Amino acid sequence: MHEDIEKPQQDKESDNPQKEVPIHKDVEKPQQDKESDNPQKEVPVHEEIEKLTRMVRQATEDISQGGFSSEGFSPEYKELALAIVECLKNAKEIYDFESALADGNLSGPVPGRHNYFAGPIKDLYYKLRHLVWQAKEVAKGDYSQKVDFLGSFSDSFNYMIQELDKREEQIKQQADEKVRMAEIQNRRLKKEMEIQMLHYRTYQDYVNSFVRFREQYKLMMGEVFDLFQEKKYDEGRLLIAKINDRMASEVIIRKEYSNNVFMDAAMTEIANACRERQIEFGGTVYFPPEFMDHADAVLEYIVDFSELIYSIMDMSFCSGKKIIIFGKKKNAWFSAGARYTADEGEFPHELDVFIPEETMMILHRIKKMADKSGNILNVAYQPEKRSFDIALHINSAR
Amino acid sequence: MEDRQLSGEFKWSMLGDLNLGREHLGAEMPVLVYRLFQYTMRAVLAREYGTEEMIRLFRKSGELAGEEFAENILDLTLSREAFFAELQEKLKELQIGILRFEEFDEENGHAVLTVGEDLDCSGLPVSGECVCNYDEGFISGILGKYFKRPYEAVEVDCWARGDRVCRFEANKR
Repeated sequence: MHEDIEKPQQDKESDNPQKEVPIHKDVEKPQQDKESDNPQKEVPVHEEIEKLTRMVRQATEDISQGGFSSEGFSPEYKELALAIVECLKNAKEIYDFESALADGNLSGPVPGRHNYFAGPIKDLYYKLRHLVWQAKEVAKGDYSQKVDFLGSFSDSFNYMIQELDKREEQIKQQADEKVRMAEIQNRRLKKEMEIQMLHYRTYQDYVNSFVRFREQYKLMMGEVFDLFQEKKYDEGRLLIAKINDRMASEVIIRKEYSNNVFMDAAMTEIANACRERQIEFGGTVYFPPEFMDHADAVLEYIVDFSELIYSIMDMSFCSGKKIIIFGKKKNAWFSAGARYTADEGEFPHELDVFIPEETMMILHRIKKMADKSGNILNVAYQPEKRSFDIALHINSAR
Repeated sequence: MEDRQLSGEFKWSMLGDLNLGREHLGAEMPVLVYRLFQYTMRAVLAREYGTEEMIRLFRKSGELAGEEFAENILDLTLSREAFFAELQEKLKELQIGILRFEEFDEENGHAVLTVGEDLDCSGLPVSGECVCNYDEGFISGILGKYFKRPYEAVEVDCWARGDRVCRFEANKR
């Protein structure tokens, strides 16, 4: 039956498609034996072939109309009609599917399994759906997604993901850098403010002690004046000496600890704290001219360093404590540091007993800061010498 | 080892050391040999136990394979997105097929996926039947292992039914 149909179509295609005659002429051939037996069937056969031909032609011109039916055909042509109708229905199903696809509809009905012709277009449809799915995954920020074996689609898609990933990474890095810079700036600002506060408090202490002493000074100087009026010069001189002693003991005498104003303020604060605790404090940190730029950088260490000193100042197990600060230049290096000693009491054998646990973190922080900026931090804990040394070494070349 | 196999136990280590055992021939072999193994087994099992039972056994074996594959080859700690990306990559790398997800519903776990150039069926003559029962089990096993819930994957399109790609729908059981 298949061959019977093909023949007339080949003739039709080579001829003028308008001619209908050759179609049934060729198809009729195999029927001739029957027709000679029963010549009355010739007309219905002709009509049925024509009906089928019209159906195929109409479908070729506009398949969207559909309406293909195998109803009304004689049993002899029923099979042929069924096959043609199925074929046209399959073609229409693909046409409808492709139309929806062309409109961007990726969720419409898909041709069923019976439709063998639809295989390639379904394959393309599934790939498009996969691309849509992959795009959604990428939109969620997952750049591990990749598309394979889709020719130039894959190349473009994968390139796009790669570029998106790169760009996001760049933006992230820039944002991180900005946050990091802001944090550094904030930290620096905070430290500078803390140092300013130290400076201010030191000055305030100085002023307060002077104000406290001023009234006594007035009274005492009044007495001196009276003694001189009475020509009691020796007693007057003794009183002046007494005034000087009291001034030395009651008014904070401003001492310079560093040629850097902030460093000096911080050291003054530590000196005052030491005085209150009866801890001996002394020494200077003078930066040579080539290291003055580094002096400001050292300030970052000061607050942490002060905190460290305060924590060991208050330890009850030692007495006769002494803190000596120093700053010395050797070759290209400048070293600033402090030596802590305690002459009396039990000196702990381990550094982590000497320095309280929470303060140990500060020490690690100072060390980390030094490593990061290329400075060298030396910590020497020598219980046998009852001393704890901490020194920062700065190279002028850096 | 023999006892274990007879008792129905499977361990990844039973696959052996391929580098040691196949020093000259290597770890790979033609797909033809794999298919010869699978389709003769399908034929014999179908003959001995009937087609339905053969399909059930193949799904079951595939599921065990999927679970073991997920456990030993894939990283089950990855996020869902990264896990699917890795699964795609591994199936390609091991030449099992080109996996493409089309859908995944985060809420109910419904997944639609295709496997192109499938190891089991691509290029088979059209028989009108879905033959990737082992794949159905394999996908169920992998998804079940990752989501820690039993899965059921059903093949809805197959090369052997005239399609160009195998398509599966998977749901939590």
